[in-house]
Amino acid sequence: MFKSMMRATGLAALACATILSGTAWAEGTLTLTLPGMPTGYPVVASGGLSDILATNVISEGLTRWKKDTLEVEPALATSWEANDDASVWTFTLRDGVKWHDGEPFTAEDVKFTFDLILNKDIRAAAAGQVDTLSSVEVISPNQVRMTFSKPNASLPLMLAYRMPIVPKHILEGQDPNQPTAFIEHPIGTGPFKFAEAASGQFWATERNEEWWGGDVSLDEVVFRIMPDANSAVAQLRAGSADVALIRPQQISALEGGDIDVSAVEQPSVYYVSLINNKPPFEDVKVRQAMNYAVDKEGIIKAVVDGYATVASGMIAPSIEGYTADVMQYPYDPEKAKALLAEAGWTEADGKLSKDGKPLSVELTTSTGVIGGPQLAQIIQQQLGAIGVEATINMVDFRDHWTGVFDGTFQTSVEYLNLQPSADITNALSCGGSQNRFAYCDPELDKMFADASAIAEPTARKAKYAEIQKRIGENPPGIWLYYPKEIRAISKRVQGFPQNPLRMATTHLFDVTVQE
Amino acid sequence: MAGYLVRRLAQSVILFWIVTVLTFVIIRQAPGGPAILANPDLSKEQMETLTETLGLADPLYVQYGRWLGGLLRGDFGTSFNEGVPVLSLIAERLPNTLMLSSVALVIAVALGMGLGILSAVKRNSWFDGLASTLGVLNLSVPAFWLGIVLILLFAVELRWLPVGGMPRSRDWSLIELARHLILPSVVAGGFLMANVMRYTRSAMLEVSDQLYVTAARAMGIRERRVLLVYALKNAMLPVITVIGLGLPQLFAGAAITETVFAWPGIGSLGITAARTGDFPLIMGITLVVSLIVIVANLLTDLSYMLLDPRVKFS
Amino acid sequence: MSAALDHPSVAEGGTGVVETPGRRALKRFLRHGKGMFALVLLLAIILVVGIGPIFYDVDPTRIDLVNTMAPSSAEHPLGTDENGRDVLARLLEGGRVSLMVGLAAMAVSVALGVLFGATAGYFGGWVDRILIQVIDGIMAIPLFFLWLIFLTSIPPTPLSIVLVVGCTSWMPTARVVRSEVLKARELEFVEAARSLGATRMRILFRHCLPQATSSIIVSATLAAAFAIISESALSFLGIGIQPPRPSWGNMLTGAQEYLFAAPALALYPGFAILLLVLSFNLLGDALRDVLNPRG
Repeated sequence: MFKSMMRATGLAALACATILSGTAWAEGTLTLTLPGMPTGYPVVASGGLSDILATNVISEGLTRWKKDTLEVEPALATSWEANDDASVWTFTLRDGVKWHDGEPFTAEDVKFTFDLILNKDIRAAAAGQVDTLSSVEVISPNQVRMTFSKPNASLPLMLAYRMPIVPKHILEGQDPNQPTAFIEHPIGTGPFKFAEAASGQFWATERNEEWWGGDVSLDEVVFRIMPDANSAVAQLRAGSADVALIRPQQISALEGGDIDVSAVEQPSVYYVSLINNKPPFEDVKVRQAMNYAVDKEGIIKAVVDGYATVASGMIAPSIEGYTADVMQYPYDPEKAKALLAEAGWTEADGKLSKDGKPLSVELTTSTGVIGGPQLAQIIQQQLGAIGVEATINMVDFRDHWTGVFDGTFQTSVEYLNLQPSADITNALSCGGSQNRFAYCDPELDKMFADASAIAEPTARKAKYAEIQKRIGENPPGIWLYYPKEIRAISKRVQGFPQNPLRMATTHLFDVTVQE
Repeated sequence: MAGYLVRRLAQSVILFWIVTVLTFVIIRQAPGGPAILANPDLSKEQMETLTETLGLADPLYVQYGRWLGGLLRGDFGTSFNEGVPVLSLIAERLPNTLMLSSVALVIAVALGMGLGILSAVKRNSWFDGLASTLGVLNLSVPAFWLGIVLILLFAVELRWLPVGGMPRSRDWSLIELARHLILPSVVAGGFLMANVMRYTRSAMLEVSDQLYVTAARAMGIRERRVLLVYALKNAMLPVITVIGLGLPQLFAGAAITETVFAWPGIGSLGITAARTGDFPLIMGITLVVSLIVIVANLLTDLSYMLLDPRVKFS
Repeated sequence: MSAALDHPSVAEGGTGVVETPGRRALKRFLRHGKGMFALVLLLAIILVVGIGPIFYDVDPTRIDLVNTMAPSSAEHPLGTDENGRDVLARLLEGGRVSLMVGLAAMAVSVALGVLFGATAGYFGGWVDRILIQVIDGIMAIPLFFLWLIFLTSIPPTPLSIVLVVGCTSWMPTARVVRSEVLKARELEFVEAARSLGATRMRILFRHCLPQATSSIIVSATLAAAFAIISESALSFLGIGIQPPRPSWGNMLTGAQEYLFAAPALALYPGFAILLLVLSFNLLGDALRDVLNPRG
């Protein structure tokens, strides 16, 4: 009798403790800093990175990233299956999901979203990811079928990236490029719903009590707009911001505070694009020589203080299908010179020339590329050391991005935030819509087509490994490095995902902030 | 006087129009166009479609006509970057700039006149020297650097004041606002304060030499009253000139100050808009700022007329 | 001719050597404390910035792989910036750039001011009225926004900055020159020249304009101060002198980013701007006192 009373008391005490500690942990506001103002409209995402981070919090796609890796798990779709050659996919959608305004989520919303993305009159940010999608049909209120003109085995992975579903019943009457009413009050299905925003100041969201995924720990997620990196650091130190992306040179300013600085791998790459269909870069030896001539380790140390890894291709290590077993180009100026000599370039007075023309390279970049100007200068010096006459062409950042595709720039120092799959057909196929190198290797195109038709993951990975090997021997540009994402997170924050921020923000529902 | 005002208004409208046309044409010369086109994810076709959708492919006069037409209907267009109507964006941020500029103006005039009067009274003393040094320093210091130095001192080293920004409306209290406003308004108003101080001092010295003031003194009215009532009243004219000339500068200066302190006003909005080629927003802000400047100038003229009926407007 | 005998230098028993207003002014200037300080400071800055690089032969654009934001050392007396470039070298080179752009813009501004002001003042009538309207009109436009719009649309080279700043800041000079020329027109010796048959242009250049010289000089110093601050503000915002070419203004852009990590980087260039502009302002004030242009 006494024992059972003890046990009951003990259990009661435990229950109380759990409830009480649970309450203490359930409170909190998570504040992140953004460089610009988000629009909240994921289809066009004219706010760039700010839009990606903000919309991740209130909107969801058919699949979403797992907490700490770049694998995907079900979100608005509970299961999916493909036909034999992965060209027809059928998705079963989750029941009981409601939009933030109370309306039910249905297959019609999915079809509506993808029709928007495919619509040629709309500048959908994700259009390039699903450009082989020919149709989306609603089979039943909770089933959708997607048909592709070519096999697309990595579809589930793609769906987690920048393709959240948007509400048909709200967006139907509005201008799909600038739905001002929607932007003033964005609606999604996510764990947080839009609360209020003030231009240039903040974009705030609050807990969605009706979320299908269960309890959300945080009360609010607030984005503070901090256009300059300095203010972000100051806010962190003062404790008015909890999470921020920072640059390596700012790490020392955060030492000794209640702030954790961590670096995570992210699917991004810095490189120098070269125009492959004109001299001197038509010659693969010249391109290889360029890769040997640049001291990538040295650059990493100088520009990002070591927070990066040497790049060997266009696919970053965190992406599934990446292989390191490709041709490497360690810093070897002698080898570079030898290759150039083989290619017919002769040296005189420290300068290389062929048929009376000097080997001259114009490095274009802009301040829109973080670290771009420094990279250009370092590369200029290193190329000069092997006899290449390199000049720097600084352009306005707008000019830079619009000029990249039409071959206006002989070379361009830039970076890319990569899509999460190894299927880079768009970027490197002959005439590919994202091909910035004027690169064309018909054999490679064939390999790409073969790879996306393989449904079995291990075999597909092997094929992508072959593809990367081939590209490695015939590099379209000078690979520089895969930058790590450096983030500063207040020690008060518990359970923040290990993924880079643009993936991590989809998984904030179980993060807590200790008051 | 009515004739004068009408003429000024007509002049202003023409000026207005010239400025808008000039701005309209020039921003479209920008290489690369609006920043939303400059998106590495867009394919060539998408960029072309976008250019058409935004109406940027039409000839200039057609685009201008469209903008003007929208303007007459009260539609200022939609911001390329933020996707919300330009008018509501400006309406949201203008009060913040007005807040900052008003506080800066009050500080500049109050401190300026105060120091100017005291310097005139204590002519050639150490106080006078110190004040005039402070003044010329304020005129010579680049505002953005002063801002950075003050941030370094008060926010980074001493941690008394915030680094910048404006508190959320739900966090508003007199203290919070004051903490966030004090540095930017001192920086924004510094130049004007120095000028007001100078002109107040010299105007007061000039006037105190004039006969009728001497006569008033001889009649035994107390020195202070003499100074304040007579001298000040007549010193107002050049001071108002300086304030009037300084108002447009205050707004312009506010743009740089807003950027340094991340203050969400139309100055920082304008700078971002100009750098990213957000055409509708640039046009809207140019319009609004021009309007403010014109109104400020008219107000200055009006105060002239009120203060000194002798002033003629030829 | 009799006027000569009444000239103070003779009438008061002097030797008859005429002390020109210019020489008198020079004497007064040499005794003006602030003025001399300003002049010495200005000359010192020009000297250091002009000749310094000959003695201190370090490349201001050379990026150093390892040594970013280093504190002062023997090798780098003022340390290195966020890219490992030597701060002192950049200060010197930046000073040259800022000074040249500032002075060039001032020259454009003063030239335009004299042109328009003299034309308005001398020819009077409808010419004057139109020019006044133009001057008032331009002063009513928010200049800074216009600069912003110009320089974000056309490539910001030193030349375009000089033109943009110069062509929009000539108005105060014009006003001053106009009023001086108006006054000069009424002077006796001008009327005399006219009655002797001198052409209008000759009168304008040889008789009226020289009267305005002191005002023009004062205006020029203030215009220089304005031009230098303007260039540095534009460079700070990124729409002035473009990196890697240093300017005191754009050195501050980088410094602001790393304010916490290396605060000293923000102090040097700004302080340099302050000193240079201060010297122009003080010089202008002193000249105004000494030349006493308003009689």
